Amino acid sequence: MAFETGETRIASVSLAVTPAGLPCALNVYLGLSEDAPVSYGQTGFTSSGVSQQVQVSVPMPAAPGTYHVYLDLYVGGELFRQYQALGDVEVAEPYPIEFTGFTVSPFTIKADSGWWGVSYYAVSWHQIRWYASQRVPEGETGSANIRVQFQYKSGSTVIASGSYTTTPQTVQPSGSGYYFPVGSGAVGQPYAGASLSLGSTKPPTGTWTYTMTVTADVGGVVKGMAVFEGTVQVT
Amino acid sequence: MKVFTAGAVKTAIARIDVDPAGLPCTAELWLSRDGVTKHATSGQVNFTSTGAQEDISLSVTMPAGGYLYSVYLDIYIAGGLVGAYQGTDDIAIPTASNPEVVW
Repeated sequence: MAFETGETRIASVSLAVTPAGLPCALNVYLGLSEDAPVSYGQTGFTSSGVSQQVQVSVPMPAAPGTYHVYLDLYVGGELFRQYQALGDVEVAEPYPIEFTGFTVSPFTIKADSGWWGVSYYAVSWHQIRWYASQRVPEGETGSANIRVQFQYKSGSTVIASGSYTTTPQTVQPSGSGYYFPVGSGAVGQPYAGASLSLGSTKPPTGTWTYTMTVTADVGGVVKGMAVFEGTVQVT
Repeated sequence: MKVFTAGAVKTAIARIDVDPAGLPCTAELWLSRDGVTKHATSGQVNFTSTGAQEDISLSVTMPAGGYLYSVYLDIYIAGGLVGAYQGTDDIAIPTASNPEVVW
């Protein structure tokens, strides 16, 4: 089994303890050796006298490596049995996703007022950092939002999406060519609610289309929009 | 409740006070699932009454696992049963299968 460092997994342990009705506890340890556990979880249960499922939540160690799985069974508060599971657990750093071939489409400006949004971005395997600016024409002021939307597509099918909207920013007039930032930060969960969880599951290999849309609006009126497109290569 | 493993030899200390002193006595500690069958017993252990409280060691090999056993203590004087007691704590002798872990 291969898991990611720091994530919590559920060990579903099937075992039979007889007779029924005994107060039991099961500890699940991960370690390089029996006497050097680095992570463990524990749960209590009552013996049923027949095979039963006991679920133990176990955090994965912070350091990558191959760990043995040890189990301590307590019955009536006494250590009754110690086991080593047949299978080890491999713990690795989160699977890297390389964003390659990232190309940006030409801006699409929806309004000709001279307000428009633009984003700079830096991507890592699981988050997108954005930095949006607005250009404000001479003599204009207002309170603006910038909304960033993300979509991952396979063909025309959206497989993951997310969005982030800034709190309103007061924009000031400036001369032509002057830009000022209205927000920067991490959009940590652009995949919320999507079927593809990049946080814990390796996505399918292949090339995925990545789209980011930045919309600047003032008072609910869209002043500008920029669309960025690229590809995500998962190997 | 005590938890032991099958086959383990455990020694119970029975604190017994028989008057008067000098009587030939025996004590037997036994474990039973049904209160009748002696699934394990210390056998009869001889001692002579002192007229005061004394500790009698009674060793029992734990019987088959997978059951709860009640503990019984019989006291005989000159071959006659004069006391039959049941312990307040049962003994659990569990068995456990080898676990299978699925993540």
